[in-house]
Amino acid sequence: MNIKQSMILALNLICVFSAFSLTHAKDLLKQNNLDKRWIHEDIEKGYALAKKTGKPLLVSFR
Amino acid sequence: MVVHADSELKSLLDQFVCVRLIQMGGVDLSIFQFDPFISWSLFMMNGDKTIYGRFGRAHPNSKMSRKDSNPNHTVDGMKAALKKALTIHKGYTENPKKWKSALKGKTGEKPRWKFAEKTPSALKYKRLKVIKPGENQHGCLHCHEVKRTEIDSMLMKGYPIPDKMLWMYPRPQILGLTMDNRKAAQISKVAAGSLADKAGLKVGDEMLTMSKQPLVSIADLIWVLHNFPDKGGPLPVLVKRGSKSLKLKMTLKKNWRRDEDFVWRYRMAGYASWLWIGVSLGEHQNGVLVSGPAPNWFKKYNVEPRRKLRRGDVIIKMDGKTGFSRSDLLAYLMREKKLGSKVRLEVLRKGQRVKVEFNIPKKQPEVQGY
Repeated sequence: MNIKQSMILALNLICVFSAFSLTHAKDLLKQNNLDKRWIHEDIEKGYALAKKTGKPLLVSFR
Repeated sequence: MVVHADSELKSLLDQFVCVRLIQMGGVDLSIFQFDPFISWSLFMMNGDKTIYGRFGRAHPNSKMSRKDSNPNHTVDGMKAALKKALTIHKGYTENPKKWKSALKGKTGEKPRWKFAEKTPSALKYKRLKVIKPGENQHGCLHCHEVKRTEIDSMLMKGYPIPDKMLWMYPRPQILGLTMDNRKAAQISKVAAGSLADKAGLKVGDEMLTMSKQPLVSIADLIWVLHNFPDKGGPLPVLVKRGSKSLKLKMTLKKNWRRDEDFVWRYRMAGYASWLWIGVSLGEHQNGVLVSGPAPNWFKKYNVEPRRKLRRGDVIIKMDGKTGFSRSDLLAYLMREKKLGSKVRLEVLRKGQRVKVEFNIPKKQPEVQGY
């Protein structure tokens, strides 16, 4: 394998691993249902949903 | 992960609409006021913005204030707070008029600036950025920067800095109380001879209300203290002891909050001491200890005292004053001295009295992220 082929292989591996990492993070979020439970960065949406559902609000600052 | 390992917590969270805010930019400070020197704070409230309670508090170990290891943040304590908040929510929904007055004090007084990014200091230095969804969060407005930019702005405008801004969010220890972290607001220790002891509070008492505000957590107790007037006076508490409810009263003296040391607060210590005196401060039986210079990334802002004061020096006199704590010293510098003015100190250095004079920098540092 020459230098050019090695570089192409390395680039391919980087792309594959990057794609895997992104998928993995998204899957983790879905598995843990974190994206569904929490409204992110939108307090007005939280107020509206609390009024609509009659539930209290839990606002987390982190 | 904790949520999924704890079915009770999951079930409690299911009863709330959960909102997560990771930056303070755009947050309405007339509603969301909390101890800014912590890594995590929860509000339990109604959709009409009526606050039921808070959860989360700082820890004297500064590193613990910033990390999940903060022993004040127990899952059991959080569950207890959520349960209490759900009870209040039920009562408030059924009879809002009855609860309105009890919950009124849960919302703080109107702040001078409603949004941190609109304070004069933030606008001048353009250092506080509001991050839009999807943007890189580096450089966003942190919780602790809210207090910092508020204090900076007060200094810029020449407004007096009240005790409440420095000796903020006093711990229950100021009353002689140690609270059980696993419960909502239950006493685990009462210091002999303390205000709590004199008022008749006992270990195991569950504190139901303080200043007539229902307590869902220790953070709520701290909130009541934070807003209690500097002039002191009676502080009523309602406790549950066994099957009995007891009304008790603690009486706070004038300037009561100054008994606490505020320099333990991470960031507060850095902000105040590095800016005003160029060094970190510790406690010492004879005065205030110079525990070390400001970090290197800060040194260009306050060169003179950094050069003149040495690690191990004990400050015993400041502008002719004696008998002060490190909090008193910093409060004096921040409130009585102007930027650019001279400070005269007398220090003990290897047993010798040495006079040290320096000028406070004329400009505030433009440092982001501390």
